[in-house]
Amino acid sequence: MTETLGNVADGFAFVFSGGPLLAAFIGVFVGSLVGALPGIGPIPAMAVLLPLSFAMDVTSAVLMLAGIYFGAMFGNSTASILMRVPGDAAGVVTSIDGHEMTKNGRAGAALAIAAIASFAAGTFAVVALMLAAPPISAFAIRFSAPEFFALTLFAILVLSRLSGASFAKTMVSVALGLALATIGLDQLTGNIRFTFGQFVFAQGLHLTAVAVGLFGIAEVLLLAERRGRVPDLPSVKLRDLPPTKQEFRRAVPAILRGGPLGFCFGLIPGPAAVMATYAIYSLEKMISKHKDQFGKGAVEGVAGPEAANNGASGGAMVPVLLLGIPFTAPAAMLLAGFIIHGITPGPFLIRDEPELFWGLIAGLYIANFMLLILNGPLVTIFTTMLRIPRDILLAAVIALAIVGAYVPRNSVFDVAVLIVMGLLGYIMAKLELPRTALILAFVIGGLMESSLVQTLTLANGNPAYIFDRPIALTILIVTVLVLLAPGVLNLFRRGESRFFRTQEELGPEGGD
Amino acid sequence: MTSNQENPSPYRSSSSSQGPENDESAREDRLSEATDGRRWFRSPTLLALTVILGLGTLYLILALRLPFGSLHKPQFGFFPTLVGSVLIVSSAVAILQQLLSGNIDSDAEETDSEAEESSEEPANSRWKVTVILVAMFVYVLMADIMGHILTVALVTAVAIKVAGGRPWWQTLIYGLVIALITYLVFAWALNMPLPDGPAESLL
Repeated sequence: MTETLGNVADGFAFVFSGGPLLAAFIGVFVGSLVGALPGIGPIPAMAVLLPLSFAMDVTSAVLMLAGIYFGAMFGNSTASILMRVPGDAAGVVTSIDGHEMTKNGRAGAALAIAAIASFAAGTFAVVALMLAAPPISAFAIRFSAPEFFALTLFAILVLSRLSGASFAKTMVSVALGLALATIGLDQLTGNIRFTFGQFVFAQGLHLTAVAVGLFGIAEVLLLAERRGRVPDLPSVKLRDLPPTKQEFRRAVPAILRGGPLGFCFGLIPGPAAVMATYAIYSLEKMISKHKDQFGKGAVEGVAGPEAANNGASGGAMVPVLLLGIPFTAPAAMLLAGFIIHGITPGPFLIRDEPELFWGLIAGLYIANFMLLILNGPLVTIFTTMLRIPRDILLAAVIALAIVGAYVPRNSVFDVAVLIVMGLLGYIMAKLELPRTALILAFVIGGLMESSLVQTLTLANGNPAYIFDRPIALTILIVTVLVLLAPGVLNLFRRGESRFFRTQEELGPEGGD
Repeated sequence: MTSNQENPSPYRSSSSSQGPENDESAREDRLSEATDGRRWFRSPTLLALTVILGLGTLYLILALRLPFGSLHKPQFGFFPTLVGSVLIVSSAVAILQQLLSGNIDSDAEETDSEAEESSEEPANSRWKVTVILVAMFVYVLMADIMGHILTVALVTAVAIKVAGGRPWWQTLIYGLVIALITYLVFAWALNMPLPDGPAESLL
């Protein structure tokens, strides 16, 4: 414990050296912005800003990317509350009661509660990450090939069950991602595969080009098809922000439940933040004394989900930092931030890169404070930033995407890959093939193959080998259970889609 | 959807469309049945999934040429063979599900109305997507000759024109500004190599 505190102190010293602080600010600022902008979520933003991280040290790079993720979870409440236009899926639930509060003249209070809930849960998540990291690492150090293979399988299959799309469609995405990952040099044997005799393919497809194309460019194409401007946000005055004592008293327990619940959801593969918001909303409604107010501006309906999605973004950092396996798409982008700097996170991260790890923890604390200020007192200045004309925004994203694809290997071939991936991402969005599953599979494909091949080689044809590895066996059994228990999860998913429908069909008076 | 409503379906005996004046669902059923024969072309989803199935087959053929090894001693063709098989099976299942789901034929219409709903824009704006992609491809072909600034200015100007409909002089100025900013930030301030050309040598 004291050791942890000492380490974090070192981390703070490192962050205040300058660079990481600036990176964190860029991250949270952009994150808040895209979180609030309808149609653009954290994943495209993380993808498009990846190139900026080439110029940074790895701590700053990861801090910037994490800042975008946290920032988006803060920012998506703004447009949800003011206009009932969620910035991304994790803001949908907030928009139900948040916008009702706006109509009741409590917009300022709703924004303030959302910011406080996000801050409290974000801080809780960082504390939990900080305290849980050393023991989890110590445990995971024993992992070898069978455990890692079981984990990758777990990540992919559980994600497929929870992603909301059909299982077959998600598996199409997963297989596409794995297939793209096998192009080029094989990590284990050094052989070259699927290059069609072309030298440019030998090094494989670059993660940046794939990610930025799949999310950044595809998002641009989807946006370009639509007309209409980003609607103007109603302005909120600073003196309207403080919530009443009663609102505050009702919000606090929801926040205290939402943060930890969200954190736990972050540990599950899938759209963690989105699922967490639905779960806490149901829970709050179930136990509330003011059930009738849900859907009509219940403050718990803002505080709970906003706490939950921030908690989830913290929880999602655990598997990627400590096991090296992302369970969610934003976590896959974080992993990308590590990989392009030549670092693979995992059980040895804390031991081998203490400055990086503790700097990251310290940076996340600071990022949360920055976000509280950006989305609290400064929210009025901030909402005006949202009035960037959409065509200019599109063009800027295209320019950044091109730079991002070109820079890592100075190759226009990677820009061509970017374009193809943009088209693929666009088509996938139209077909409702989950792009998040593709990028996740692409990122962990290498580890999955090498751990599978090693496991089989070690087992040498003896299935009893896996039974001697209780951890791997447990993970595999859990994976099978999740696969065989679609009934329960379907029930959950149906509840989720009911929320969506309620929101769309019943209009302002609805909200279940 | 263009179709002959008088034409009874030769393919399907749908239970719901037995009564001729069986309200709207029956009408829709007949509508969809008329387009049955052209399913694959009517439904972009089926078409795209079939392309994916084809790509999966190609991938598996290539994977099978690599040394597979055995379960005891897998070689570097082992994993790709698994992946190719999963790709083929899952896309085939997705196609089947699409065919069995019943509303395949209204698929194209569905995406259209969806696009309309969310954006007050008919789906025939697909040309915009094509134009932007083609413009981006100019970068691949020309960046090494024309340099970063001119090509990016061109690409972004086209994108702004397509997405926003401003006058050309405005789009060109915006394009040039974006190109200059990205060049100054990434090449000058952050020292990253971007393709050089006539505009860069002026700076």
